[in-house]
Amino acid sequence: MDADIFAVVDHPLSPDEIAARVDDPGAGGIVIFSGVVRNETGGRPVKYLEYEAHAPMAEAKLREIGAAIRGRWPGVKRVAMVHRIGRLDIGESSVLIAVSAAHRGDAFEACRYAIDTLKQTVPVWKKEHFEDGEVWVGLQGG
Amino acid sequence: VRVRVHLFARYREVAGREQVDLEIPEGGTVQSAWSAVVERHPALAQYRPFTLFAVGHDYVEDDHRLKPGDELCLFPPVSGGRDAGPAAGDARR
Repeated sequence: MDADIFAVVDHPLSPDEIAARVDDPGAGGIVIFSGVVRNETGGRPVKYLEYEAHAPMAEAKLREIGAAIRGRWPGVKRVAMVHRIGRLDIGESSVLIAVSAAHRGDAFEACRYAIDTLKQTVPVWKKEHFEDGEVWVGLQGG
Repeated sequence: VRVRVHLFARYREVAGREQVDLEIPEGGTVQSAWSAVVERHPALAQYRPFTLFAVGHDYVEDDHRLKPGDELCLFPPVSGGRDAGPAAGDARR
């Protein structure tokens, strides 16, 4: 369990690396979710995104999500959650979550739970940069 | 009670600073600190309904009492807000 990884980083994320982090001989499946930067928001072309976090609290909240997963899906072997901050270009991965489990059902469910909960509780903010301006996502009026 | 308030993302930009040091009355709450911050940075007042508060690594309510040396964080909504599910995205099209 101490191999689980919960981190906020400022470098590009690697799906291969995170898959390796949840490798476990008792695993029958690994599910990986990668959140990537989309090229538009509501039809408005996005140039790039900027992510900011309260990193220590974000890592604590990621850890809580990992603990909740272990309580709810005993078949889960390992969990890794990494969020990237800083400037990200279109197509780059902002968040990677990997869950290994004895059976695929647990891995899919736990991974879905992890990303949905992350979006609600982890203190990370993103700013969308457009050709003609910028806006912090989630705040009316930018 | 002396507390330090940290501002993030939009709030930092609006206030033009990352932190504000405050002196609030004994028994002061998160709400007392918010009011004191808004007094110095009135442009933040409009964000009150969306604001999340945290002390240490935990979210707290606005009636949470602050202790000397507490560091209070003021958060805009976390970034999942608009992207929470496919329904939200589809509805815009």
